[in-house]
Amino acid sequence: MSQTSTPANGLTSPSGVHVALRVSAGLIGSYAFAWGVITLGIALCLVLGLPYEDAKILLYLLCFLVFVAAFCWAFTAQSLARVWLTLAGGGGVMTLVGWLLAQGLN
Amino acid sequence: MFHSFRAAMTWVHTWFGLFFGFVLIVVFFFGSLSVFDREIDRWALPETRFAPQPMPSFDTMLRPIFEKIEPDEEEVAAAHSRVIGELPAKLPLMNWSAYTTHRDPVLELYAEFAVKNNPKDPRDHVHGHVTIDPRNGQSLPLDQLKLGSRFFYPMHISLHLHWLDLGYWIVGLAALMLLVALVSGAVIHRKLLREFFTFRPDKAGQRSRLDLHNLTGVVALPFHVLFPLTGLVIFAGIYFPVSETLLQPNAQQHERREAQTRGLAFAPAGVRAPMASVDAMVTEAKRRWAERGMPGEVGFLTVTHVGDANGYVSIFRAGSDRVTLVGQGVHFKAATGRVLYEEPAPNAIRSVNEFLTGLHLQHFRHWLLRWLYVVGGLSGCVCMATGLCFFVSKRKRRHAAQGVSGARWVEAFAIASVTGTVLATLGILNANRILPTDLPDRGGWEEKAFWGTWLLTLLHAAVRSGPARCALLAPAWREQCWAVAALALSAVLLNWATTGDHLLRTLTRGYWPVAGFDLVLLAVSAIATLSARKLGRAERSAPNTPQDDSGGDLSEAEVAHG
Repeated sequence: MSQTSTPANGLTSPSGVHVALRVSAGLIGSYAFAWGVITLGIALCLVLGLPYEDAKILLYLLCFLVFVAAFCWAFTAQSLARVWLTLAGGGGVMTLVGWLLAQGLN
Repeated sequence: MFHSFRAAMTWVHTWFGLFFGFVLIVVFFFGSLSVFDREIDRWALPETRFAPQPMPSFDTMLRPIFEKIEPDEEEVAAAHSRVIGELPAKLPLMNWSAYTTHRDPVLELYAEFAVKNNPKDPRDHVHGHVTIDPRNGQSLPLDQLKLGSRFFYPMHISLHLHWLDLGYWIVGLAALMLLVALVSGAVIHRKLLREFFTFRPDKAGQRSRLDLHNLTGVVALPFHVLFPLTGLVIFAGIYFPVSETLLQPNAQQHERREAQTRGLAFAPAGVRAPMASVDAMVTEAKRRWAERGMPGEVGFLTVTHVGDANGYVSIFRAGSDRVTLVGQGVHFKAATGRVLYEEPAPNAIRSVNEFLTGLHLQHFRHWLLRWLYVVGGLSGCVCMATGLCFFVSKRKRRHAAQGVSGARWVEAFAIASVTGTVLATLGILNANRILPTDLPDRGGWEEKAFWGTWLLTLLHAAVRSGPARCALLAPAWREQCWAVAALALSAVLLNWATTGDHLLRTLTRGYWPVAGFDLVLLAVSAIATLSARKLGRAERSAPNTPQDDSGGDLSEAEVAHG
């Protein structure tokens, strides 16, 4: 992504669209990613024999740290495309896999 | 988008900190008040100013009161829109519960009534509740507003924005952004240890403000990390409702299995049954706790499927002597009083969770720690406020030169969220002592006093931040400090005038809930007076020159400690 310009002071000043895409990646992308981690995480714990309630508590304890890490990464990674792909795409895939896995356990 | 990792983190810290700083001040402030919510309730409801009481006898006192509880009219009215056909005139009773802590003189009793004809939710229900004086069983008027536990505490967790649970989401997002601000703040200020010992109050405004921002952020760092995180974990079910959506089948299967192995019926049998003595069950539960080496009092008592053959009574121990809230539940068959299930010690995952949530909700008996929570919360307020002030002072002159009003508006909102929040709180406290006791919907008027005062402080801040445009300190800060000083003092005087409980009396009697709150109000008044005078001197000494340090010792690079 190269929607940045370099003004005289040497600091890059991002365009409005780029900022909006970063912020939405940080908020929506990280939320989707956290959903993926929770769903897949619980499903894997269930496969390993942990009771559902314990698995859920474990993932609830972890998911907000995942969100914070994903959010920070969304602003520090160079490629905006990779950010969206990893967070929203990865989150979606993990959610789907976790859901399918959990369905199979019923 | 940014030329370096630190530039990105600085951007995130500045802009998300600005946007959520206002919310965080409010959440921190009302969180700090919530630490003493029960005590504030006593200040606001003079007829409840007596010593905390243990859970009274269920058989002789609570049961007849429970039986008289009616469903809440507003909840029933709302339920009409969720059902097919008509609601029955008398909704079937489901459950009863009572919760108390070592700080509660009054006891709140809850009942749940089934709403059976909701096609979307077979477990739909409405609530009824009553607050009683456990010494004699008399109930207190329903429209009394418990200021601490029913207004300041909900403000802390949901901002009183109920539509779509919006308040919970805003507070949750603000908590996440606080964690982000701590991470990005640590990246910006790499020399954490040095900043721990750095505070230069004599240095010109901007420099000392940044010092104070770093100091309050770093000193209370464990607090600032743990509280947003544990708060989020407590409400994780709202933010990520897995059990109600994607993994609902797994969750329900688990619940059914759990009910089966424990012998605690998931659903009523539909056969009426009498109820054995609950007092005898309480005695048995206490005996079992003592046997486990942890004798204690009842904190939480529930009756599930009241009057049904599948009914059971659950008795939980009050966690006054430990971080965990309530626990060590013993479950009894309601009809016979036989023990169905005694909860084992929690496993590692649950222990961590119970410790973290207990740490946040703090119902344990430890007054020093309780005060440290207030200090931590208020240091959070100072951290956010100085951050906002730093944002303003850094841009004020530039914005003034450019004719932009951005910094002015940020300052107006900062004033409304710092002194304005305090004023709104004092507004509701004063209203609580002024409004006639027989006023219909008195609690509603008290709430209006709160929101009205807050709105006034915002308008005042907007009007009186004009000089901010030419890089002067907004006079609204000073004026609102004077208002805080006056209203805090008048609250103490009104408490004296309307209840006769002046400090001399409450202190000699050792009634700390009211004495302590009066002392805090006096301290607030004194601090506000000092602040107002100091602000006045600053304004007079620099009538025409910008108040920030223009010596160039605070370049962009130094802000980032480059």
